[in-house]
Amino acid sequence: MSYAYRSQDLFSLLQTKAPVTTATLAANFRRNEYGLLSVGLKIHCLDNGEKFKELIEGLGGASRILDVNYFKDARASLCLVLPPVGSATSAIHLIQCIEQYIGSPVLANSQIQLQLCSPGRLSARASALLGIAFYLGSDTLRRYTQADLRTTFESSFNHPRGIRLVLYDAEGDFDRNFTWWNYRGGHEPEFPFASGRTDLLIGPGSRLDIENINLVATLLVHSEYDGYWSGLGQEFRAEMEVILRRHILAGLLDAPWVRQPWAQFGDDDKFFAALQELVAYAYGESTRVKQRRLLQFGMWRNVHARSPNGILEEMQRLLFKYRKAIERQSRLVAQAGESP
Amino acid sequence: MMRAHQPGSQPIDVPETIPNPAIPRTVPNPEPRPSEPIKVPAPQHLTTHLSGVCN
Repeated sequence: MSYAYRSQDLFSLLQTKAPVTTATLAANFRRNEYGLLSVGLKIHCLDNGEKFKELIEGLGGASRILDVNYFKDARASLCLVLPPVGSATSAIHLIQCIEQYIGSPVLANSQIQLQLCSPGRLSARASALLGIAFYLGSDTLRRYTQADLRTTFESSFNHPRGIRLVLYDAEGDFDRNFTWWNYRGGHEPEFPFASGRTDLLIGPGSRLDIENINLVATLLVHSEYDGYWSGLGQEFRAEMEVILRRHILAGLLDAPWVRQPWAQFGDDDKFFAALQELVAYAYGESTRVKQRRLLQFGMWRNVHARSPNGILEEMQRLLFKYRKAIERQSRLVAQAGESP
Repeated sequence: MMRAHQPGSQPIDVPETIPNPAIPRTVPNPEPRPSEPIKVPAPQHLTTHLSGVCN
């Protein structure tokens, strides 16, 4: 991820309009939470990007900040790459600071497509699980067209990324100096891999999306790079595959969710068909929940889904279970580190 | 909004995004309103002073 400015310069600028949030962010931005992965963000702006003009000028101007990156959403006027931060909390604070600076929402904004970057390249199957977990766990169910997922690297000669929700990095700059919890719980000062990311082009995103993706990416990356959460990550994968099998969606995992070097002609369409199947199932589930509510109460009530078998509810329970397990276990690690 | 349509059937509108029903909606708290002013009885010396003036 190339960003041609220093984090401190960004914070100095943000501090002029968001002093309190920026002060909190600047003090903690590389701090790790619960042994989870760091978070990178890219902001793809679909309108004319006028709101970001002052921020970009303050950081050095478009030619220095934006034009160094060829990668962006194919429809975007600009793609602002933000410095990676140590946790989902810091990523949310960073977005809040930018919202205050530009005076406009970044989250849940249909004109802004967020790209969430997680360190470590996942396998094809883990990439599929990441994409599916993000979709089902989000607070918004989205329909996609292929246009939503086209980037300037769709058919790049050196780094073709296809038309996908999940994207690998293009072997650019990589900041590996974030805390990594090794398999014994020791805190390493850097990641065990020198480069590589797995990104999600999530569209208009939310706080929950950032937290969920950070959680699931951590579980999956640790399961593939022998990190402290490897055991939990394996359990998570197994449980998610059981859920998908129960809903006769296990075949989605065989689709090419991320473009591999050995991709074949037609893989973009195979992936998109799988995504559409997932979307249709989730929309159908949403309709079933509403019908069940009508049957149960005789009228619409604004209460959350209680279906014992609904995939959306099952995904929420799964994410909640693993988030709590990580929080609980990380407290034990912290206590063990404090004891003599 | 997208339109799903098959020949011979009514076209249906399918929204591009819908809320995930498995996530409870957070209802924002009503905006705080200023509390009603409370009647405080005037101090005794003021009322006696005023009554003196009236009389």
